[in-house]
Amino acid sequence: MSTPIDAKGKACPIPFMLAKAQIDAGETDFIVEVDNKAAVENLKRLAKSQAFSTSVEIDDSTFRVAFLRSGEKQKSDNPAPQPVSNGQTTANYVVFIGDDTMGTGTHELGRNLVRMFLYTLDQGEDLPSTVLLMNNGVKLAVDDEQCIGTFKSLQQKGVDVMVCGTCLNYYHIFDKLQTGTVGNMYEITQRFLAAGKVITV
Amino acid sequence: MNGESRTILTFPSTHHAIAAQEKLQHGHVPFIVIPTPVEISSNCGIALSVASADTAIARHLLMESGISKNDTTFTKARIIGGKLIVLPLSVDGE
Repeated sequence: MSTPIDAKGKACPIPFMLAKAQIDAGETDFIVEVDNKAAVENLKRLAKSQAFSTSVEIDDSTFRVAFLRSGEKQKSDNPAPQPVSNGQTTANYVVFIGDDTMGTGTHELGRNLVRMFLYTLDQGEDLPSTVLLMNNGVKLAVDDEQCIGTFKSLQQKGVDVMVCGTCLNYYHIFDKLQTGTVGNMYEITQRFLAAGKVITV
Repeated sequence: MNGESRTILTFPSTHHAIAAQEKLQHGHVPFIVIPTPVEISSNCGIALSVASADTAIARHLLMESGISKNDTTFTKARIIGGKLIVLPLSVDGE
C-alpha cells in the first residue's frame, strides 16, 4: 500500500479526482484522507462504481478511506438506463432543479408548483434517469415532506436523485438530508453530459 | 398505498388552495399538493389530496375558517397501480 493521499481541506471534487487518478494509474490498494462526510460519501460511491471495496477509519476529524480492489474491474462511469420492477423504465434525460420553488414569483406559489411538478413526474410513465438538486433545490430533499416522499417513490422506480454535497455544506444542512445520493460536481457534470436532454425547473 | 381511498379537494382560486393548506396543517391533517385532475372542473390548478378518513375533519376545518362555503369540491379517488384515479360521478356533497 502506498503513502496515504492527503486530501484534507481540499474542496470538492478534488478528493474524488485524486482517488480517480490513483485508480486510473492502476492502483488497487490505497488510502485517501479527507475531513468531511461529503467527501467520504463521494469516495465510497466512486469505489463502488469502480468495483473497489472500502473501509473507513475515523481519527479525530480525519476520515481515512481505504480503497481495495480484487478481481475484475467493472467500470460504470455512465450508468445506463435501468429497468425497474413495475414495468416502467427510466429514460435518458435529466431533470435539474436549482431552486426550492418553480418559476419566478412568490415562494408559496413556487413551492406548490414544484411539488405538483414532481408529483406529476412520479405519476407518469416516462421517468428521468436522474433528478439533480443544486443550490436552493437541495432543500426540497431536506425539509419538504411531500417532495421527500416523491423523491423516495422515484428512487424506488429506478430514478437516481442526486443532491449537491457542496450546496448541503454551504447551507449547513448536510446532516438533515432525508433522501437522495450526495454527489459532487464531477459526477453531476457527468450526468449532464451523458443525458440526451436536460429539463431545467 | 395501492387501493387507498383519497378525497380530492378543489377550490375556486389558487389563494383558497394555499389558505386551505395552512388550515389543514394547523389541524394536523396530512395532505398532498397535486395538480387538479383533468376530470374535475375547477378554476384553480392546485388541488389537495387527503385520506378519505380525514374528509370530515378537513371539511370541518375549512368550513370553520370560512375558506369553504359551497365553493370547495370534495371528490372521491382511489390509488390504483400507483396512480390516483378519480372515481366518476363521485362529488361528495355531504
